[in-house]
Amino acid sequence: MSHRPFFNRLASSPPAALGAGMPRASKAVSGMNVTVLRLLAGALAFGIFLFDTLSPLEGAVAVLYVLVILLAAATGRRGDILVAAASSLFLIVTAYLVVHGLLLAGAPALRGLVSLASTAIASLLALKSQADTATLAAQARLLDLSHDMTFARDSQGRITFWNRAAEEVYGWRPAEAVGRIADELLKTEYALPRATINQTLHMTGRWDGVLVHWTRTGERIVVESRWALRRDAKGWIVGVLETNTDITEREAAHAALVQSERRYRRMFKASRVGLIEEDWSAVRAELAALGLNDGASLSRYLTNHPAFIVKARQLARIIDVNPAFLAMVGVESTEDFLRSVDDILSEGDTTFGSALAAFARGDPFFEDETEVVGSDGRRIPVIFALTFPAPDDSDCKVMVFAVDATERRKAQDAALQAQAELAHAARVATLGEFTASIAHEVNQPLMAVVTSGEAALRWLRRGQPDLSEAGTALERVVSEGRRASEIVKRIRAFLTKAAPRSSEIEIAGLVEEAIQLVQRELAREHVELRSEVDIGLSPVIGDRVQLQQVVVNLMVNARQAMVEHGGQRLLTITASRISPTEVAIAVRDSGPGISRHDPERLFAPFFTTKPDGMGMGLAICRTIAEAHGGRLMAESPPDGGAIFSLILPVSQHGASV
Amino acid sequence: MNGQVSARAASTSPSSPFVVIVDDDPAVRDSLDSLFRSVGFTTCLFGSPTELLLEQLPDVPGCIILDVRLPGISGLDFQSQLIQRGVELPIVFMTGHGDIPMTVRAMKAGAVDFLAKPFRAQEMLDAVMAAIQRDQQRRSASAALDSLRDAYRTLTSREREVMMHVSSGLMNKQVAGALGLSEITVKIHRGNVMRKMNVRTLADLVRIAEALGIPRS
Repeated sequence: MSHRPFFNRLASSPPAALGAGMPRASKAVSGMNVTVLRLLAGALAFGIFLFDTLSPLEGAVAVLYVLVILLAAATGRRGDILVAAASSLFLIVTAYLVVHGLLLAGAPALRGLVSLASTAIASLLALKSQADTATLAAQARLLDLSHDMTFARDSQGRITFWNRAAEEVYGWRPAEAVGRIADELLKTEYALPRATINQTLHMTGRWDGVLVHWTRTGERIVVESRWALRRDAKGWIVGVLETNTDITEREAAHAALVQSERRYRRMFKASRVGLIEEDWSAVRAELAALGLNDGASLSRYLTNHPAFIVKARQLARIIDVNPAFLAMVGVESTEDFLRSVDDILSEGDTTFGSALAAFARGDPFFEDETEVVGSDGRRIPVIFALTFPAPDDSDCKVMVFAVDATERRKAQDAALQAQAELAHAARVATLGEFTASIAHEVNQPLMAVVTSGEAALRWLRRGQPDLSEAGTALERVVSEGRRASEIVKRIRAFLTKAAPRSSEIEIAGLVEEAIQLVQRELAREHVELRSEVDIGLSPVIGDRVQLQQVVVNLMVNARQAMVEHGGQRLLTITASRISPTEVAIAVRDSGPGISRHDPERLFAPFFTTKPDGMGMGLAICRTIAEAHGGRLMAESPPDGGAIFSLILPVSQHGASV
Repeated sequence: MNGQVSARAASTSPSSPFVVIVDDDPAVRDSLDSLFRSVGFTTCLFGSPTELLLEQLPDVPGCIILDVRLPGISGLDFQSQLIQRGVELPIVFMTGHGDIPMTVRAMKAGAVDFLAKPFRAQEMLDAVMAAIQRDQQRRSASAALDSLRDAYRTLTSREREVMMHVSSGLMNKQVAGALGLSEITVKIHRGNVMRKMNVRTLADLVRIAEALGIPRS
């Protein structure tokens, strides 16, 4: 019978007293059992009464009524105890009266009194015990409601109590578990030596930690275990109450998280791409304070308020950087780096404003190229990508991926250099085709200078010096000297080998300069030149010399086509806007036109129609056009001749005008 | 190219030698103009050969200064056009460097001189003086020939026949035989020819016949 522990239970303080298994007694003793117990108690009482009354044996048989009380108490019901006590006392008295009458004889009377007293004492104890048991039962029911697996073990480690959750999770019923050694039953695995745990337990009365238990079905579960030492009233250790929470899933999830975190950390550390983690929460707050909702008005605001961009750069804090990025900028440790974005971006950076606009728009992503400043002040070109958190993400972390573009930049520079040199060679070759014209063009002013100078001398050396004539001649000396130097300057500029320089270029000026370089050559070949440049064209951005080279080359080609063709020689150069973002400089000749088979062939390197030509002119011109974000196209209009068009994007600044 | 007409009328005495300057570059034109006027020449300036062809030039000794590389028409073509039109002014060419084949052609066609730009003023003045002198000689030679032609025009057709045979070296008797005349008559005609042509000796007559291009019998 499981109600036995009731007697084992010592009167120690709850809750340590809990778990003695007793609460089950009151439950188990119900229904049929209660009736059986009552009948047994009744039958026993009746038997004792009969024996007491009828037996000739002189003795303290009535003491056995204690057993009746105990049987009644076993029902756990206060009423039963009271009934049993009252009945027993009544039967003791009745039996005495029947046997001895009202006579108070010495020995029998004493035995009767002892019986009465023992029955009464047993009843009182049973009542007290019943009261305690009721309290404990209530508390035990609470334990059964708990989802934590709770059991108690005695000082030998044997299970003395086993709650419902323990039954459900571990798989053993209380009857099977109670009495077993807990560590054996559950195959408990400890992360720490048991001795250490016991030490903690005895010193503090408590221990908690993570354990591994195995269930009846062989399933491994991880539990968070809390132990409390149970002591009796006198302070003697009687056992341990152990409460376990199944954290297997939580543990697994956590382990997965830890693993994932480690994996990402490893990626962060080992990546050869420079990584920066930035906190933009202050930036977000600052943007929100502006109250500009749509992207367009924000972009406008950023354009007009560069100070805001600077401020935002300072607000974007760097939280972490990986070794690759540290190596890129030549910084030793991460700690030296936890500053704001403003500290690493070069002052010429133009990308942060765009990134800010993308962030404010809620874009997930932004990429561009810029320069960061290394520890030694060196500027490092980088290609970077930013990933932004979702707008509703409270964790406002921005990840930056940066790749050192130095090598790429070098390769680009080398390619540009090679292209520039090729372009230069082509310019020299182009001018070489009309050295005679150039010599003439330079000689004209020089001759005017020399002749005017000599004329001036003669006017002065006359018997009557003519100062007015001499003055006029000398003015011409000065102006023609300037003109000669302008021509030389123009040719030198055209033949310059300097690296391409980007600047804003007025189309009209560009066309005019190109015309000046070739007009004498055209005149010599009796080519009529017409120039139609629209007024107020937006400027373009690019290298003046290279663009001029393209126009000159197109005009020289046009001249050649017409000279070989015979017939009318008319060269028309026009410049006009062909779309809101593009201007075209078109050179049209009255030559034989372009072969219809493959106009693109013209632009292939080494394609030439000249006996001593290199065939690089148009190929280089196209490269130059494309390097300027434009195109170079050829067409043969139906009414004859050929049109070569250089199409260039107008500068952003000019486009908005 | 720049097509501006800039002929300058003679500013000094009408009989002073004149220089025609043709160059498309106004500065070059003006500097040459100044130079020639400083030494007392009369100048005529043209921006292109076509302008010159439209102009009536003064009938005094002079020369033309021309750039071989002129827009519209080459200097050499222009030279031949002038000759076709009977303009016999000597031409001084100006040129850039490296135009040797052109130089040769120009000299063959009768250019007086060829100056490479930039040249010294004295070289140009010398060349122009030489050209003008040559023009003067050509002019006086042509004036003498004109008077011979006038004299020749006064001869009768019989006298011209006699002159042709005599200047060809025939004896009076042979001339008489060839023309079916008497020897006396031939003598009379011959005397008339010598008087009208203003010569004393047969050698002079032969020279004149050659100058006038009279064919031999």
